[in-house]
Amino acid sequence: MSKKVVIVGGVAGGASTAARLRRNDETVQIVMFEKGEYISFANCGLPYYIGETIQNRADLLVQTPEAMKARFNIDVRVKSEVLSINKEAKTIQVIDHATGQKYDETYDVLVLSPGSVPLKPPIPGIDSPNIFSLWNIPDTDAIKGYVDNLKPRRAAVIGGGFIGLEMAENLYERGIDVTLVEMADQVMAPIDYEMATQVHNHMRQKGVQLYLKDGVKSFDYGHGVTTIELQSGKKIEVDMVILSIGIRPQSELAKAGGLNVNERGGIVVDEYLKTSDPNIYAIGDAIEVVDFMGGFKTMIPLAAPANKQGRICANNICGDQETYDGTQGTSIAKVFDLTVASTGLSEKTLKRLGKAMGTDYQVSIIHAKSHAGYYPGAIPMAIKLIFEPVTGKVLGSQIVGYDGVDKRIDVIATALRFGATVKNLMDLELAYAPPYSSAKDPVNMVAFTAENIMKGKTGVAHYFEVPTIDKTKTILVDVRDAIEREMGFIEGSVNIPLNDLRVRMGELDPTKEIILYCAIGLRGYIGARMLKQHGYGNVRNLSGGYTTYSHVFCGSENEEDGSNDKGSCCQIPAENFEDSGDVVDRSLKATGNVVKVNACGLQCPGPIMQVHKALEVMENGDVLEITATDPGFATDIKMWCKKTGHTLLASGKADKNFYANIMKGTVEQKLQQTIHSIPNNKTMVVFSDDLDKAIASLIIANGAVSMGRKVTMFYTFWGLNIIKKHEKVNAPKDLMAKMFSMMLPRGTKKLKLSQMNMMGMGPLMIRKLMRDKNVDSLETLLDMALKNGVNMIACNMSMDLMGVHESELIEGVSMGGVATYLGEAEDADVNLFI
Amino acid sequence: MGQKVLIIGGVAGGASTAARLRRNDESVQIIMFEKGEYISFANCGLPYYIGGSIEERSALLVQTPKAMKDRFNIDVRVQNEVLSINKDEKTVSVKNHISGETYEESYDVLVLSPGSLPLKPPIPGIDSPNIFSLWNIPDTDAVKGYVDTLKPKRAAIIGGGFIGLEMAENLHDLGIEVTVVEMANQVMAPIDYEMATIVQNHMRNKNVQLYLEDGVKSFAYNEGVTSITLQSGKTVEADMVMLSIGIRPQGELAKAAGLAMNERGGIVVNDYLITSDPSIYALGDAIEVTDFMTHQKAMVPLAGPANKQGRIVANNICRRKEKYHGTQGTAIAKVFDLAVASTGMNEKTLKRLGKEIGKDYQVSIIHSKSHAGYYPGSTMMAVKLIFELDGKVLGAQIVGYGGVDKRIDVIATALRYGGTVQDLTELELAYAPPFSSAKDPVNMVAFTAENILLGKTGVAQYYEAVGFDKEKTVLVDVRDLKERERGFIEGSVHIPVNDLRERLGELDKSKDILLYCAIGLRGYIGARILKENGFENVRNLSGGYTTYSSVYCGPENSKDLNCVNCIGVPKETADFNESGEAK
Repeated sequence: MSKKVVIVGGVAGGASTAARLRRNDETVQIVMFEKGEYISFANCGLPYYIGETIQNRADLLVQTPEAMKARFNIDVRVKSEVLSINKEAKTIQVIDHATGQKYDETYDVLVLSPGSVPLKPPIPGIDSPNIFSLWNIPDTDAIKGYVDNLKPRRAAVIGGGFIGLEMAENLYERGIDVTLVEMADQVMAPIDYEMATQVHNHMRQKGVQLYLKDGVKSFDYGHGVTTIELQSGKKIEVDMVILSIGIRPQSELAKAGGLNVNERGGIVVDEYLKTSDPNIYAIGDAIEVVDFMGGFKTMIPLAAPANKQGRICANNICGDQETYDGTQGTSIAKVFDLTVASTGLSEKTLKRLGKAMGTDYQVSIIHAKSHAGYYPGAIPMAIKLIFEPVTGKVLGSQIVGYDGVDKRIDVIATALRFGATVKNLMDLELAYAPPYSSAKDPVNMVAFTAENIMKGKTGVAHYFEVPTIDKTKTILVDVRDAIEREMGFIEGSVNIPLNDLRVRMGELDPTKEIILYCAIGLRGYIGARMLKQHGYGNVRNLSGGYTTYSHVFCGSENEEDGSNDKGSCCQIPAENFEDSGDVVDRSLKATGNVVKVNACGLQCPGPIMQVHKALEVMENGDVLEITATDPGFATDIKMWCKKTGHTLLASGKADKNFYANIMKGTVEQKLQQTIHSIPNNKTMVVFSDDLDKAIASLIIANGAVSMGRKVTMFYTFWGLNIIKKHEKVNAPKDLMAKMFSMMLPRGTKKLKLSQMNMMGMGPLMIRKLMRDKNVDSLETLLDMALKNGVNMIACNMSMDLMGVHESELIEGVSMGGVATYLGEAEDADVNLFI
Repeated sequence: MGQKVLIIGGVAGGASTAARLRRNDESVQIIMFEKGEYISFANCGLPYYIGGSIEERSALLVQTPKAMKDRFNIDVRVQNEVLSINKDEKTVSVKNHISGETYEESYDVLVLSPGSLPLKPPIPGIDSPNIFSLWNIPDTDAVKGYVDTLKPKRAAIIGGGFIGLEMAENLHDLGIEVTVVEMANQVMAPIDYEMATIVQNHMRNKNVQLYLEDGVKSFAYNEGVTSITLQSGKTVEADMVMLSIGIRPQGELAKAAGLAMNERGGIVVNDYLITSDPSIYALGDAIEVTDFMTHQKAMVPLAGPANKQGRIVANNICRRKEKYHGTQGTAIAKVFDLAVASTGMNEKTLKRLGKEIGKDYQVSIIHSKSHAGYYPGSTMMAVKLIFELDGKVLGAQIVGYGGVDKRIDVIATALRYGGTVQDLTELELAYAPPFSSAKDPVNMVAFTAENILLGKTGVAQYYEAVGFDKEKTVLVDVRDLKERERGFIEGSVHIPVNDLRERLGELDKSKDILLYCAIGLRGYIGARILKENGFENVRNLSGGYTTYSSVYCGPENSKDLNCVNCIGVPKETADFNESGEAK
């Protein structure tokens, strides 16, 4: 009979061990105990099932006890909790929660894969019914059930780690307003602050409320609503709470069994994953591992290492001597549209280890496109590389971006495994075709910049140095084009565009230190090289350029709290934009021409330059629809429009690019423009004074006015009679004029019909008919037309000719000549002669 | 006064050299000669402009002479052709094609970045007006102009390499019926046959006509239509023809100047990229490089290496001593919905070098999901890993829909460090469901390779499942019945893996047992069960039925009614599809 292996824990590491064990050895007896109901479930997929990206619950259940039995002949016992280990007797005590029975089981080899549990600190009210943790299938069912049935509108996520952010995204996907509370000054602990600020800005842009540097003091539940009081005293009301503060290893069993456990509760294992007892192995979240980069002991709860440890553990049980060489902490998360990834050591960890920047390590940050800029969908990503300045050894890397992030972190993670240097990363020959990369991949690029720093080609400055610059000693030079500065710049910087630098170098004092910056760091580097070559001794380039600087200092958080304690912020604070399309004025219908411009993949300042160029040749009121792949574009363009007096109609993110619709000029300009440029005005020449014609003309005029059209009525010859006052006016007239006055009707009431006048019977009949049929009388129509702003012009010449004096005309009528009329007629699409 | 550097050729390598040189040294005088009208254009993007994915022609023009002057103070002379080099006098003779003038220019350092040219063999009729090559901007304008104005309905592409297949896709996108003619028995020379069949099946399912193992005998042009007569006697009629047979280095200038050249016309350089003349550097497509994996001399015309060589040349001109460590041939192409990628050596190269499978190297093929199967959008990719029996990885090829570029880059990175199978099993790659699985496909292919190396299982290749001796070998299909109903390998017996333990008695221990499943995982589990139960000679079919059917049951076999390799395959749908296993 071969040996009996008992495995405690049936999820990632445990199930991996069991399957590998069977593939290694058909004869070994394998019993796997799982406290819960489910084994080998997709724990990393749980948030996405709640968010309904994963639609079938069954998809989460990767393995079942039956399937494990059928394929691997493994005795899986769910709802069976191991209560204690007797390592001397090599037995364990188990309780079957289905029957309540307790029993002992013997083992030759025991494998502990207990995993971890979410932390639940003793905060008042933490047991409220709408406060959840997410760790397993029952948790998932509870949260999904709550969301599906009670349709909460507001949720708070406590803790901004991986699960917290994934839950924030997935609850947001369900239409819930999300607030995130995090004790640290940043979310996503594995990445450094300046990288995390991009995530903060992105989440805020999505409408997530972030409370950083703040913790929960208490929860207060009442009627389905939990009021969260923060340490700062702020209060948040929500319909549900997700706790994702952290996790702790489930090592009680091991500890009680007398195995070595570290001060953080991690089970101590050797490089073969064996515990302090030679018959007991341990793997997964609960064990202490070696940090692959730093060599120190640590706890790194990640799924992939757990799975690999399972394989190694199984091989070693079968007599191999495989070592687990440590965990480097490669991790990745999707946070809304962003991907956030890291591998190796962070700057925070290095500082904690007492390392100093400049001597022990150096940092380079670049912003590089996910693939060739000229191929659609290339979006920049921020890459931070941390390396030893003398040896060039790469210590770690962090990447935040929209696309291609996973590839680059995996390449660097692979290189780290081989003890990579900066030089190695430069030499990497990666696959290039325009849809996938550039001839120089972002990984090559960040290594190039790192090498430039190492070789002293340029000094490097970091974002955090900018606010403390002593202006008497240091000149900050913005080498971007003037147009880019319109979207914001670092306060106190002088602007010398790179292409002018050779000529304008004289403006810079060579005795001072010079820090250059551009948008992402490339032009700053070129400028720094130029200055160095021309005898400037002290030149540095701002790593990551204005992009990194503004992520940190010009995000929406800085706008919120008004005061910026971090020092000199950019001139124009960045504002939010909504991805759904930040429509400035929905009622505004652009009637001008639509011009489409594709600025995807353009080098900075490409997109704004394109906007600038296109708008130059457009008319006021025309609309520019521009697409770009620069994530900052949508924010930049809003600022730029404000500054340059154009109107942003919409901006946001489409599938693989960012878009903005811009109307040239402002709304006011456009309305004026409409009046003058779009020919939909109406003009009428009213020649006749027949009653019916007068009525018809005024009905048309009033109709057109009510449609918002400008109407001009030009009264000439007999038509003048319509707009005369009813009462007789004593005006100075010569003989001829007096004779005309006597013969011609005075005002609307004296008008005749063109046909069927019948000695005045006709007009009376018409008037009666109109009254009966509820048609406004001529007088009312005239009055209404004047009130509505119909422009009535009396013909100067006719008045002269027919001896009509200004004082005889009703109020509101102006005098004008044929030129006035023609001027109006030019802007009209209807012109009637009545 | 700094040194005077002349650069011949203003595209990838030349422009890179010039820019880096200026960043290194403000005082050096830099003159760049370009025979054509354009410098530093996006040569890899040309097919996509023709196909309309890239909308703006201006997007192809990455740099202009004026921009190079403004930013880098480089004297760029386009339409200036260098006619000859006098290396003793250190001068070049240049013809200005705008003015017609010829003049001399002296140099301290000369950099040759002449690139390559498309091959145009002396086939009758090859100069017909509707036969094009695609290599530069004027070519692109000509092809795009022809397509836009004459709206051809049928196009023939001669040569199934990168540019050929990219053009096939882009012309197909424009609604043109495409035929590809290729001399070899497969498209995409950098990958091996069984991997290429995935590409071929995919193209055929996109209604591209493929003529493999056939070449062009003659072209006959008549009223806008070219009739192509193939070596096989078949004729193809097309309204336009793209020639993408191959390229040759433009080494004439170097050769005439007396620089050392190899027999393929490549300029010979040392590790520092210096030619046989100490004042002359050369880089790019036209130089002979060291194959990073074999250390043999090779010609590997790729844009990535050319750009990196430019940086090294510029540094060395400025008195650094940087070596170019060779090219490993990492390449990728998008072919319709597929990505096709490779790095390091392929099996064909190994065979050419006299290496033998099982003795000098071994192969593992897996089909793996691009990310966690339960997260939407995961697709299958085929990964082929080639490794020495001591575990050193020699090369890899990947064909799939998503995530191919990532995995080839990871393996390419490992190759650079002399990575072993064991190393690949240990790689700690980034895992979250939208991006990967807890065991990444790279880990997975390494696990299967490790199983082979440790003798956990014997391995059989796809070609061994055809025409095996039934007296000696039992072929066992361990898939479920439903899968078998959709097609199986002729002559196989069916025992689902979950039944194998009970049905061991049905198998003859004295025979060689060959197991297969859909992708190789259950076959491996079955092989382990048999081995553990006393079966000596057990092998698992690498890549399973998926690889087998990709080779033998593709759309081209459906025409052959006598094809009996696959039984019960609905042939018109046999394709390596996104959900993985053959439909």
